[in-house]
Amino acid sequence: MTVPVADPAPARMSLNRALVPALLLGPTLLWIFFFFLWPLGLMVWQSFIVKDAFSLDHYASLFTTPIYARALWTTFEISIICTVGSLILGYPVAYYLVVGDARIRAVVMILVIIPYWLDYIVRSFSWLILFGRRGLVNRFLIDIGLITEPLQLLYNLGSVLVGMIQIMLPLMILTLFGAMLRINRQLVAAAEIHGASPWRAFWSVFFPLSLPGVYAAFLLVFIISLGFYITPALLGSPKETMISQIIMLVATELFDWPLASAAGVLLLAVTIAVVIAYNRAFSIERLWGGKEA
Amino acid sequence: MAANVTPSRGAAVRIDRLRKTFGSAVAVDSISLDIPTGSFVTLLGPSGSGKTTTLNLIAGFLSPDAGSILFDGAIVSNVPTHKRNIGMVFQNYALFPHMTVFDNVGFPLKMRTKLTSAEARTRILETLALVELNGFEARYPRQLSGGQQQRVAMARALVSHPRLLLMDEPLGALDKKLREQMQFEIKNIHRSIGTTFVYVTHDQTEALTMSDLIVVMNYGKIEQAGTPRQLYETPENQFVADFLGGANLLPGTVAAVAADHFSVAVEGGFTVQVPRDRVAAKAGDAVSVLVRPEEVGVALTEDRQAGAECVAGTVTAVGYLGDSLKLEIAVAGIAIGAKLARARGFSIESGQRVFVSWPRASARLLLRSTR
Ligand SMILES: Nc1ncnc2c1ncn2[C@@H]1O[C@H](COP(=O)(O)OP(=O)(O)O)[C@@H](O)[C@H]1O
Ligand SMILES: [Mg+2]
Repeated sequence: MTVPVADPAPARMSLNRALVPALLLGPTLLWIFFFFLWPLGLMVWQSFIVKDAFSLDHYASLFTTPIYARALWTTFEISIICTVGSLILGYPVAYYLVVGDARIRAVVMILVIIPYWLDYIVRSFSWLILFGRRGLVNRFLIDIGLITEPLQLLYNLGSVLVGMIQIMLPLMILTLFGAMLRINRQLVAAAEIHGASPWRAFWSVFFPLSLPGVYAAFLLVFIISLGFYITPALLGSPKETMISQIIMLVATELFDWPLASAAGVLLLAVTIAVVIAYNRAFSIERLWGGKEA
Repeated sequence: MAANVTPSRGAAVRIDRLRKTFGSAVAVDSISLDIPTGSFVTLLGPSGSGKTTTLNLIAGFLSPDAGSILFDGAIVSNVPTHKRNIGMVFQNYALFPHMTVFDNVGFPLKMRTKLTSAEARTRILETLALVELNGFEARYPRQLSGGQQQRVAMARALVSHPRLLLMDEPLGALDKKLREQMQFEIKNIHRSIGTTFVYVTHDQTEALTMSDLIVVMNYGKIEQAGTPRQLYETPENQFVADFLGGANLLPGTVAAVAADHFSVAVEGGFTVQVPRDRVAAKAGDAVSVLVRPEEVGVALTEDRQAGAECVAGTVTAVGYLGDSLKLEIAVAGIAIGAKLARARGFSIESGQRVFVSWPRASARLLLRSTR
């Protein structure tokens, strides 16, 4: 038997164990609580109140007023197309960043990152200069004699998508790039030495292994796209009105805060539902026999 | 593509003045080598000696700066990797994590052959039986132990009956016992299928037990190539002598050349005789006398026998290895290692005066390299 000896060390240890996380996390948690969770709670609360009583009237009017329901649908439509577009354009670039020639790679990387640093309002405005009736594109086409009258390049679905994809592309590329970097390239070599042409090695090995990254990047870009506001406002027509614009409109023009809250809550709820459904469908843990070793 | 699958006769590989540099580093320095059909050849050398680079050149993952590689007499420089009909076991196995064992092993068949799925299935199960891994077909690689993954990697490399099998330190990640068992099994597989094996290791025991031909590499060059016995018993230089098993290399100068032996004055002041045995040296040359530790005998009393060297020294270290006793003895300032088998009951301590002896015929003269 050992003789019990008073040892102050464990007490100090457990104090530290409680204090250190509190000090590290405390400020951020307080911030999140007061400036995010609290107002969010107020917003949810407000969306269920009509004349001091609980009611679903705001939600009912969201679903019954065609303009709101349509905006919600448009939001999804535009976000999906934008995400798929960024994926199709971004995947080859990310792939090149992983496998390409080192010097060209550095240049491509800079070209990807610079727009990422620019404010997206600036980037949206730049399309006005490019696509306007007297913009660079129209002037060029007239100069070379392809057209005589300027084309309507702005204020339609196309211009909104071009603007949004341009803004989301760096994020898509960098997310895919990060995921692709983790792929063991020796696996591609293994495929080739066992008879796969580079093309087949890509499709049978590299591409499937990049799918978790594709799923993650897709979800990230899609969810950010759902909240777009400035770009459709600048580059779109009323037909391309997205839900964030509606929320803004209801809150600042109609001063109907509860209805705006309800729209916000709905967008949040739908987003969370999408994330959950998505994770169920593409659970990485279920793929390939369990958790990463 | 099916035409690529030749019946499993091993390829004869010729490497001709092959050179590969990375920037200013010369990874493979103009090596030439003939690998006979169906043989088991091991590239042996320390880390960074160019073994993997050589293998990658054979595989076609890298293209040489100079020189060429020939399979059965045909230059393969312009044949892309996937058409070279090679199987390969990678150091970390490189199994496809998103495929089951069955699909991993079936991969080369899918790429190279037009077998029906029933035929492929038979072949896959046959190959898994060869590596003794039946019953794991539905598992994913990460659900297997290291040893099992190793077997899957072997099966995948062998399943399409390639004419050449490359293995880059395939047992490096396994523990000692499993490693020894796998050495044995790989050798058996080699005997039963007759494909040419090119094996890479930095482990001399592995090389000695498995190979028909060992190629000792150092700094991108071939130091010596030969059978395990040739390399162990008649190494051509200090590096090979030292790399294959422990070696006592006694520094000295040739004092006299007789008809059948050299007399060597060892630094520290004693003289020994070494058989001439085709070594070209003349009086005054700086040399090393190679004496294998297992040839060294240790006795408490002087016991001079004909045909043996015997010198006095002091024990400086004793190590008990279970199956043998390892001693280090200082003889006139030079450390001589001895490995005594059957040392049961033989008690000896550090500081003790002893007599060290070895048969003259077992010693070998090596010219001291200037490197
Ligand atoms: N891709 C590479 N880039 C630069 N240097 C390399 C590369 N591959 C190998 N080397 C260098 O070439 C030499 C031989 O390497 P390697 O063939 O991997 O040796 P080994 O397999 O015998 O350990 C080493 O000095 C290594 O640093
Ligand atoms: Mg290596």
